[in-house]
Amino acid sequence: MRRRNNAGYSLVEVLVASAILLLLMANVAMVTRAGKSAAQSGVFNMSLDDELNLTIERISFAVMAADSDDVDGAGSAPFTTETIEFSSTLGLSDGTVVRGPVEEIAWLPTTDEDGRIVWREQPTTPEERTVNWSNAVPHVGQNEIDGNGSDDNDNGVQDEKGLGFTKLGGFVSVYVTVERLNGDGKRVPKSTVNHVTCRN
Amino acid sequence: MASRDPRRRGAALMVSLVAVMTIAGIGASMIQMQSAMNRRHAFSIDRRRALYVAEAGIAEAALAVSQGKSGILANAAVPAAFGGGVYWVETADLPDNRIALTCTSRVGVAEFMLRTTVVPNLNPVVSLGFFGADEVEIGWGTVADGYHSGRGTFASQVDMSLPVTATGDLVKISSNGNIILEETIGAGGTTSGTGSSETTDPSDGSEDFSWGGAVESASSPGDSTGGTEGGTGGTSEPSSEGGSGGTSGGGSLTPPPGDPTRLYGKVEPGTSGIVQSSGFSRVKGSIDPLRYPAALPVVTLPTVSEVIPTTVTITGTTTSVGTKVETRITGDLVVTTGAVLRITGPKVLDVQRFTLEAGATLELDDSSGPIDIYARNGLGFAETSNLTSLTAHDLSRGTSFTVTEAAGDARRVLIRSSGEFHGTLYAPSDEVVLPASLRWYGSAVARVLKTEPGARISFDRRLAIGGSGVPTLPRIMSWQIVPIGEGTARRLMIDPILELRLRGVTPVDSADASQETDVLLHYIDLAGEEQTYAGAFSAFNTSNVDRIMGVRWDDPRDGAPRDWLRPAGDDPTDAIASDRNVAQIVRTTIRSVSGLADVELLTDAESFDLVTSLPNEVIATRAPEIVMMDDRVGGGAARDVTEDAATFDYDQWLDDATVKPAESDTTTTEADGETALPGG
Repeated sequence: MRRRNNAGYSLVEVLVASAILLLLMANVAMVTRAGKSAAQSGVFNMSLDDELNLTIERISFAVMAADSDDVDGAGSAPFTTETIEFSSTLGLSDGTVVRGPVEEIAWLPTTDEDGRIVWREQPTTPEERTVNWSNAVPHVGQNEIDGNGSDDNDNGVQDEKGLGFTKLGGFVSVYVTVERLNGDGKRVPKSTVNHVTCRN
Repeated sequence: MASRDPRRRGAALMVSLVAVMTIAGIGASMIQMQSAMNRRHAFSIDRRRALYVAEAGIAEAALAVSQGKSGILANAAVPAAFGGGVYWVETADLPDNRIALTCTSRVGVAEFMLRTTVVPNLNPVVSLGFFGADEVEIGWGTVADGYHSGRGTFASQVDMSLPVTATGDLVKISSNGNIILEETIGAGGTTSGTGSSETTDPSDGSEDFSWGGAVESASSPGDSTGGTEGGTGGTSEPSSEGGSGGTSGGGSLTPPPGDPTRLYGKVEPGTSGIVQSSGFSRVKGSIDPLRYPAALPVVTLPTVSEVIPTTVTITGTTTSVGTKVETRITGDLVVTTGAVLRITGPKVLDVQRFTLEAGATLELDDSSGPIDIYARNGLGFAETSNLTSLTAHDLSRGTSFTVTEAAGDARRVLIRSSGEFHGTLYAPSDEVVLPASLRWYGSAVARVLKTEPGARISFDRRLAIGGSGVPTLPRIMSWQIVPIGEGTARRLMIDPILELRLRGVTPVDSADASQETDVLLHYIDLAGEEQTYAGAFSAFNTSNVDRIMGVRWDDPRDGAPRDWLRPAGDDPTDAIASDRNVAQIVRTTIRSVSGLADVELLTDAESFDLVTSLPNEVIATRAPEIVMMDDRVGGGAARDVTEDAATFDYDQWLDDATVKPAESDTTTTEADGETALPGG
C-alpha cells in the first residue's frame, strides 16, 4: 500500500503561528520601545541633573571664597537678582589682604525665553574672560520671590525660575533652574537651591 | 547511520540568540552610562565631603596655632584620619605673626585643597590700636605711626626719607565716633578744632589740666598746607562731608606754628563718624571708616590668692610688690617722691589707685613674663614722674594697664609722666590723655582718647597677639580654594583609606596630628608660685597648674624654639568661665519660664518672670555681661520691679533700666593716709 505524504503545514497552522508570532513581536516591540523611552527619559533627567549640580557647584565654590562685604548685586532676601559681582581673596601680601579680579556670574539671554549662565572675570574690560556654565536657563527677572505663588515682579508670570541670588549677611542663596525640551517636545525644568557662606 | 531528526529544523535558536544579544547589548550600554553618571555623582559628593574635611583640618590647625604650635598636622605619607577621609596641613610663617595654612584632604575619589591665613590669638582690645570709643582727639604736632617689634627694633623700621623719625605706616587710630585732628590751638590753651573746647580735668578735681600756653598764629603758610605724603588711598584734604569717612573743615585757616600733625597708617572714624580737620594735618594712609563698631569687652578682675589689706606706699627702691605672682592691694599703691618701684614679670597686680608722685619712678621689666596691672580707681602719674619699660621691645612679654569701668563717664586716668612706655592701656570708661613727655609704644584704648600737642605714639602690632583678661582667639584673615585637577578638586583612582591599608600605613588620629612634642611651659601653680616646665608635653602633669603664662614649642621643621605665646583661652581673670556660667544660668532660667529658647518671643508676663527669677548674684554682679549677652535682660534695676505681672510693661521697664556695673568694681576704698595727688 502506498504511504501518504504529510509533510508541510496547513494554512490554519501557518495563520495561527503567524498570529502568535505577530503578537509576540508586538509585545517585544512595545517592551523595547518602553524600555528605550524609559532609558532616554532616564538619560535625559540624569544629564539635566548633572548639568544642574555642576552649575550650582561651580557657582557655590566661586562665591564661597568671596568677601561677604564685597558681594554686590545680590538681592536682599527674599528678593532675587540675576547677577552677582564679587572678588575672591587670594591671600596676604605684606599684611594686606590681596583680592583677585572682579568676577561676575550673570544670566544672559539667548532666545526669547531662555538664556545661559556665564561667569565673567573683569567684565566690560579688555581683559574680560567669559565661560559658559550652563545653557537653557529660563529667565526669572529681578525681585521675584521663589515659591510664594504670586507674581512679585509684575512680569505676568508667577514664581518663574531661572538664576537668582539673594544675600543675607554673610550668606548667599543661589537659585538655579535649567530647562530643556525632552523627546516629546515638552519643557522639563529642574531646580535646586544652595546656601553658601562666604568664607572671607 | 543516524540521520538528523527532520523535526529539528529552523532558525528559532538563531533568532532568539540575536534577540538576547541585542537586549544584552542595550542593557550593557545602559549600565555603562549609569555607572558613568554614578561616578560623576560620587565625585561631586566626595568633592563636597573633601571640602568639609579640609575645613576641619584648617580648624584643627588653627587650634594648634592658637596654642603656639606651628600648625603642621600629619603629612602626605601618614595623614590624619577624619570624617571618612584623610587630611594633612602644611604651614608657612608669614611676617607679623601670620601663618599660612594649606590643608589637603582626600575623601572617596576626590582630593581638595584649601589655603587660609590666620593670626593666632588676636587680642580684641589691643588690636584696636589707639582707640576712643566716643571720640579721638589728636593734638597738634602729634606724630603717630606703627611697627612690629617681632621684625626688630623700632629704629630698624624707620623710614629715613621722612621728615620725622617714623616708620611711615602701620598706625591704627580709630573710634566709634569722630576723630578730631586738632589744628586751631589759640590763646588760653583751649582746643577748638571743632569749636567745642574742653579742659581735661581728672575726675577727682584735684588738678587742672591744660594744653599749655598760647601760641601765635602762623605768619606764613610755609609747609603748613595739608597734603598727603605719597600715601595710597589717603588724603588729608577735606573730602566729602557728611558721609562716613569724610572730613570736615573747622576753625581757623591759619595753622598753628610748629610741626604739623603727622599720622602714618589708618585713621578710622566710626561707621557714621568723620575725620575732622582743616587740612593742615598730614595723613599718609587711609581715612576709611570702620566697617563695624568696635565692641569693648567688660573688664573682669583677676582672682588672686595674696591680698594686702591696706594702702601700700613705696618710699625707697623696691623691686617687688607682694610675695606671690598675683597680688591684690585693697588700698592704693603709691610711689612717693624720689622712690623707685621696679615691677618684674610675671606679675598680676590689682590695686585701687596707682599713684606716682612727682619725682617717683616706675620701671617695668617684662622680659621674664607679662605684667598685668589693674587699677580699679584709675592711674595718677604726676608730672616729673618717670615711667620706663626696661625690656627690649622684641623680647617683651607684654605689659598692660587696665582701669575698670566706672558708672558714667570718668576721668580717673592722669598720665603726665616722662620716659618711655612699651605696653597697652585699657580704660573703657575714662578719658585718657597721652602726654607729649612720654614716648608711647603699644596701644591705648579708652572712652575718649586724646594726645597732647607734640605727642609721639607708635602702635606695636606684635602686642595685639595674645594678652590677658580678654579671650583671644585665632582669626582667619583669608580663605581660598586652591585649584587642582578638574578645577576645584582632583579625581582619585582609589579610596585613600584603602590605599593606606594596602601600603600598611595607619593614619593618625586627628586630635593627635600635631607634630610638636617638646614644650617650654611658664605657669603659675596652685600655690601661686611661678614655675617652668621643659620637656615632652605628654609627660607634663597639669594637675598643679593654676594658670599658664606662656608656652613655647620647638618647631618640628628645624627644632628651633618658636615665639612665646599666651595660649587662647588663657584667662587670668576667669572671664570666660564666668561668662559661660552666667550664660548657662540665664539659659536655664529662660527655659524654666518658657519653653521658648528665644527671649524675643517671650510675652511681657514671661519676661517679668524671667527677670525676677534670675538669681540675685547674677543680677547684682553680672549685669553688664547679661546686657551684653542678651539685651532684653536688664541690669540691677530688675529687682526694683514691683508691678504686678499682669500690668508689667516689659518694654517700658527695659527703657528705664540702666546698666550697673558690678558693685565691687565701683567700690572706692578710703585708704589710710591717702596721699593727695600732686599739684601741677
